Parts: sequence; structure tokens; C-alpha cells
Amino acid sequence: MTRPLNPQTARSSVAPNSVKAGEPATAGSIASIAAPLSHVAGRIVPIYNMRPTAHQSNEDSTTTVGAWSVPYYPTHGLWRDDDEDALNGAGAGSFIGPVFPQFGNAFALGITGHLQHPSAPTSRATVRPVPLDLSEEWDDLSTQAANADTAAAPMVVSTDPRADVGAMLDTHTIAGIYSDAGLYNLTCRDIVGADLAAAVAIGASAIQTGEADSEAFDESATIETTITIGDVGTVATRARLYIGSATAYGITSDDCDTASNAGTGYTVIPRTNTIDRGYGAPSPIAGQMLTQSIRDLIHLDRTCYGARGQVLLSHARTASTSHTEPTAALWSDDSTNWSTAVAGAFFRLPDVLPGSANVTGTSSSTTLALRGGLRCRVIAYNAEVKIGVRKATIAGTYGQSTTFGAWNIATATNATAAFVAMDCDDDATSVSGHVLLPSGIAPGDDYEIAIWWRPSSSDGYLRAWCVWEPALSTVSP
Amino acid sequence: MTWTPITDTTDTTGDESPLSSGLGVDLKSNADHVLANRLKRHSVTYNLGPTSSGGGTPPAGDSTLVGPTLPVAGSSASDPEAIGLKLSSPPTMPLSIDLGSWPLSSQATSIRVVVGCSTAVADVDLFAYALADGGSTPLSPLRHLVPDEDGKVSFSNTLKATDAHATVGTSSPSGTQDSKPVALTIDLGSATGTDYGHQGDPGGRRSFRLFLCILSTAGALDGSLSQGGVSSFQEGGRRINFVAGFDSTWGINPGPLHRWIKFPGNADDEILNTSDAWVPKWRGVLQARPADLANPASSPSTSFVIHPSIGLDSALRTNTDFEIYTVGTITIHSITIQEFGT
Repeated sequence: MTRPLNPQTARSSVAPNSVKAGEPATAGSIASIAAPLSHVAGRIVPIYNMRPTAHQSNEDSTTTVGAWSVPYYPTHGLWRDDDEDALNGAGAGSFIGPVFPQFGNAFALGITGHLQHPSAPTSRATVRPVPLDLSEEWDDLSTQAANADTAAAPMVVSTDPRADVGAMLDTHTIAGIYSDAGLYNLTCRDIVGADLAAAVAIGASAIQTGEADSEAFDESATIETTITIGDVGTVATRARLYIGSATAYGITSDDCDTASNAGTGYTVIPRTNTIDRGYGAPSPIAGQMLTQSIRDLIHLDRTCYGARGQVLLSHARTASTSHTEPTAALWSDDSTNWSTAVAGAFFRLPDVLPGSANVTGTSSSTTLALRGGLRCRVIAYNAEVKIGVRKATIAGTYGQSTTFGAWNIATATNATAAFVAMDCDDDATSVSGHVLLPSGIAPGDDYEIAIWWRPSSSDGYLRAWCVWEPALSTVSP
Repeated sequence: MTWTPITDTTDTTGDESPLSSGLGVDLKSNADHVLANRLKRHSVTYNLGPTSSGGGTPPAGDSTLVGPTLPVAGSSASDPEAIGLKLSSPPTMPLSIDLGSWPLSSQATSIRVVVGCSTAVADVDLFAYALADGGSTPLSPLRHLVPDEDGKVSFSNTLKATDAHATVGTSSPSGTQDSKPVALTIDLGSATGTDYGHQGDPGGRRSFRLFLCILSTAGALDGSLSQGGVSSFQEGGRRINFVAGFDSTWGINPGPLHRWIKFPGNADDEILNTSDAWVPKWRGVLQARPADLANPASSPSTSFVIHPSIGLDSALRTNTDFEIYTVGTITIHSITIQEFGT
């Protein structure tokens, strides 16, 4: 199929004189609106991840310092200290995101990092592609589809540790020198100084998976991708991998269905940009236009308005219960007290309540259509997971006078010893798959999201979560 | 500006029939609306770990966060050092977290970065900035660092006047809430209309990367050990040894100790007052370690890994007494990023 017309790569005006009432319609006037709308459609890009899958500090993952076992403290990024030959197949992190028809089976993956290993071509730092293996799974909670891809991330590679640059705050070099007390056990952890902030190049890969199963385009599905390191050498000597930034987001799928549908009425949100070429010659007769062309344009207008797909929170880890694997699922053995996976995540509501029937004002209803809500998907193992939303009124010069409303909470529970994907259902109203927005909240208000969890019994694990804005249920007048 | 639903059944009656009056105006108005409102948001979050709160519902606030159970100084304890991402910067250079890169929406006129965090001991400065096509927006933090006479830096007043900066004190919201939302705004000026995304090879895209700078400030003299004297310089001045029982003084793991040290140079008035080689007098402690790594519990002396290192030709080596200060720390819970249009 043909890719929809997006995104454009040049500025486009959205105010041509030719669209004014009474002016003759031309191909140019239609294209002048189609182009920016297509741009918007392409830019409703779901962001699947913006942080590497880093260690969870725990009592089983330690380094020995004399008679003490010293834990590894949390870091922003992911690091591994393995023999080079053990890196092949080792976890490099995961991401999860909601599936949308236009972004179902395609994504971009940008990873920055560095790798010190014995098979590097030189002792000097050079940028080389590091092979990655990707394992994708689409899951609509009843059926799964799987696919595998390969990619490469440009990383700074060398055989030797980098030299200490003294006056510059190269945290990674310093961490290596003093790793006998635990790698990145520093006050600045793995965060470099501002003098080196942009020293690492970004190079993203576009992945068109080609997966054609319906789950790859089903809005009730999520895509979860596990990344592992490929073959970087076979020497059984210590290698040191660091991933400092990992961004994944949807890109327009080559395989999305862009066929226009003359039968869709205005209450339907098509969710895909159906326009795959600009309107050109032969120009329509002045003041006239083909019905289907106009309908496609109206549908695109509605798609851009109603199909949101903004991911608020997402994080995924590998399906491992190991307590020493850095990318393994979060672990807890306390079935009484809550653990907090996320708190302090603040967002502002857009102009219309997500998931609602085009509600633009305050609502205290108990239905999704009238109060709006957020979609919630988690993957857990013998655990109960709760996702909460509360209104926050941010005040004070640095937020210290902020006041909060009551939490509205949704829950999902999997008491079996296996990783299971689940939707969270609203506690108070039993609305499935969503957490309703707090009663009384309105567009423009700030709100906070938190995620808590605990094992159902003994050891429990939390592998992934994803919270996003669902499409409006209708945009009818 | 509001979005106007358009009925395709009544506004387009048939091929080659006249378009309804105002259809183009409505579509144009709608295009403006969605361009200004369909803007992206995303987040970076850090695992906060266990609480001391049970019962049927989770705790309302975050004051019951206790930190994971970890080995601490040889025995098992709840360690708050492992809650979220706890950081302090050296006195001479802010830290800069790479928050990621993404296809910036063409009509985004500002980026709102909200840092959900708790702070302790002393103020912490936060500054959010972006790199777009190689330029720093709103300002380059490196060009707006102002050192004082002892070499300790702060952000310039110009930078502090932007909405992308906040000096975060140690107060917190009332009730059971320790963390607070610090809202920073990066003003992108007028919308460029430029598409920072690309549907094909993202390697060919124009770059937009977001960073969060963190700059601690000094607290008070340390209550456990306020002074020391360097007994030896190691690794060319990156690490200093001094006499102080590691475990008996601080009771922590080898690793992060959020302190700054200052070499006052009191013994030599000429050097104190006239020598540039004394600047900077401040150093950040990146790591505290027992000098005898095989015996952390009984090591009679301690090592500090410091930044910046003390050069072989530094005048600091002529007068090695130093003072130990506490420092402002930040525990980051989440960082959320939201594009806004006008």
C-alpha cells in the first residue's frame, strides 16, 4: 500500500485565500489544507519510551567490598559488566506502546551509548554500529503476533577505557576507574556534566516490521519490543556496555490501510490519514470538487482532532525474574506494603477530555463518555497493580505550595506465576480498561499519575506499564 | 479558536456539485486548531520502590517511601539513597540529564518540563534546555555559568530570568507529600513550522534533544567531620586520602556521599589572596571510599573521589587542609515533557 501523505518536510501555510467562502475551489486550495493536516496526522506520533531500562537496586545484585556486599544504586541509563562473549543475547532493554492503525507495525529506535570490549577495532574511541536483535510482540489480550528484526545502534566503541579528562565531568570514565566500589556508585550516578551533555551522537533506526497480523493494527493491542545485543565478539574477557538514552516512537507504517471509505459518517474517527498524494492536475472545475476527495479531507480533519494517541507513561522490562539481570522485571516480595513504580508524573489536560464524547468542560459523571479517562495497560506476574490520577493545582515558585485532589484509581490483578498483560479497570465505576479522570477536572487542569503495585503473595514482578490518551469516542456535533 | 465538526453528508452533496459556503474556512480553522493542540507529551520516570504503607489503597502521598532493603554498611536496611534518582552536582559544573530526542511538532511554541522531585539540605537549581539543529534553546548553560571568587559556579541572572529555570528550595507541599512539581518552560519563540520528524530513515531527521541541568548549592559544615587534611593525592589528583574512619564517621556504603569540600588556603596569605592557581577552591565529592578497600568497617582513613581533580601543578597541594560541607540534593521521581502551542 501507499504511505499516507505525511509528514511534510517544509513549512506550509494553512491560510490560503483560496479556501475563503465564495472563492473558487481548486486542487491547490484543497492540497493547502491537506498538507498541514497530513502533517498533524503524521505527528500524532506515539512515544513509546524515552529512557533505557535501567537496574532496579536490590539486595541480590551487589559487588563485594571487603567484607561488605555493596548494592548498585539507581542510574538513569543501563549498564552491563559482562564478558564480551556473554553480551550476545544479553538484554539491552524493552519498550511498550499502544497500537494505532497508522503506527501499528513500524517504529523508530534511537539509542546512544558506548561499548568497551576486547574485539573493538582500536583502542581509540570510534563510532561503530553495534548490532541489536529486536523481538516484537503485539498483544490484544486474547491473541498475540510476534516478529523479529535486527537493527544497529551507533555507539562509541574502544578496547581500552577512556582517559580521565580531568577538568571535564566524564562520569563514565570516572565510574570505570572506581568501579571496584560499584559501577556508577557516584553522587552524580551516570549523569555527565553539562560540558559533555551533547558529546554522544544520536542515530535512530527506522524499523518497518512488515507484520501483517491484525493485532499489529488493532487499537486494543500494544506492541512490546525486547532488545538484545547482537554478536560483538567472542572473547571471554570483560566488556562494558552503557546505554544512556533510548527513545522509541511510532512512524507511519508502510502497511497501514490508507484506502478511503466513502461510507464512514461523521461520527466515525478513521484513525488513519487516507490521503497519500497531493491533489493536482487536472484541476477541478472552479467552485467544484469531487465528493470523495472532500470526504477524505473531512475524515482526516476528524482523525487529527479525535484520534489522540498521546502516550503519557510507558516503561517495559524483559520477561525475566532474575534478581541480578539488569533489565529484569521489577521485583518485590512484600505482599503487604505497596511499592511505587511511578509518582510525580504531571501533565496538563488538552482542550478536550481524552476518551470522552468530545467533552470540553468540567464533568462529574461516572461514564467514560462524559468524564473522560486514560487507557492503562500493564504486564505483571503474581501481582496487583493500581494506577491513580489526581488533580494537581501547581503553586509556589517551585511547586512547594501545590495542592492535590483525591486519587481516582484503576486496578489490574494477575495472581498467577506468569507474565500476563492486563487492562486496568476503574475501581469506582468499573469502567473497563481505563482510569477515569478525577471528578470535576476540566481541560487545562494539571494532574498527576502514579502507579503502585505489590505481589499477590511471595515474589511478584511488574514488567511493563503504559498509560495513554485514548481517542475521543465521537466528535459529532 | 474552536474546532468545528463538519458533516460530510450535507457539505458534499455529490461529485462536481458546488462546495458549501464556508467549508474551506472551517477546514482551515480546524487545521489551525489541531496544529496548535495535538502536541506530544511523554515522560522519564524512576522507580521509587517500597513504601511502609499497606491496606487496601495505596498511600495518598509519598512520605511513606522508605527505599529498598539493601545491604548498608554491612547490614540490611531500608536505603533512601536508592529512591528514584538521587543526585547532587559538583560545585563547578551542573549535571545534564539527556531526556531523549523526538520529532518535535511543528506548531510547538514551548516545551513544558515538570520535574516531580524532593530536595533536601540546600537549594538546587534546575534548568531545562533543548538542542535544536545544534543550537541551545533558550540558552546554553555553559555560557551562563558565573564563578565566584572561590571558583564555585552559579547560573547567570540572565539564565535565571528565563522560565526554564527554577531555584528549588527544600519546602514541600502540605500533608503527606514530600515531592513537588517544579514546572519549567522552554520558550521556543514563534512556531517555526519546521518538521523535525521524518517518516523514512530517522537518521536523516533534524535533531531535537532535551536536557535537564541540575546544579546544587552548598549547605553547612558537615556535622560528623567538618574538616580534614589531605594525606596523599592519588590518580593524579582525582582521589584524595585523609585520616578519618570510613565506617565510624559516615556509616554508609562505599559510593555516593553528597558533600563538597573547600580548600580555604588559610596558611599562606600571599597564595590565598593573589594566586589564580587556587581557583577553584571547591571540589565535589563523587564517591567516598575506605582507603583500605578490603576492610571498610575498620579502615582508619578515607578516600574522596573528587571533581574537578587537583592538578599536579595546583597550588592547592601546598596547603592541603579542607572543609567538608553538606550539599543540596535532589531525588527525582518523574520528569514529564509536554509540547504547547499558542
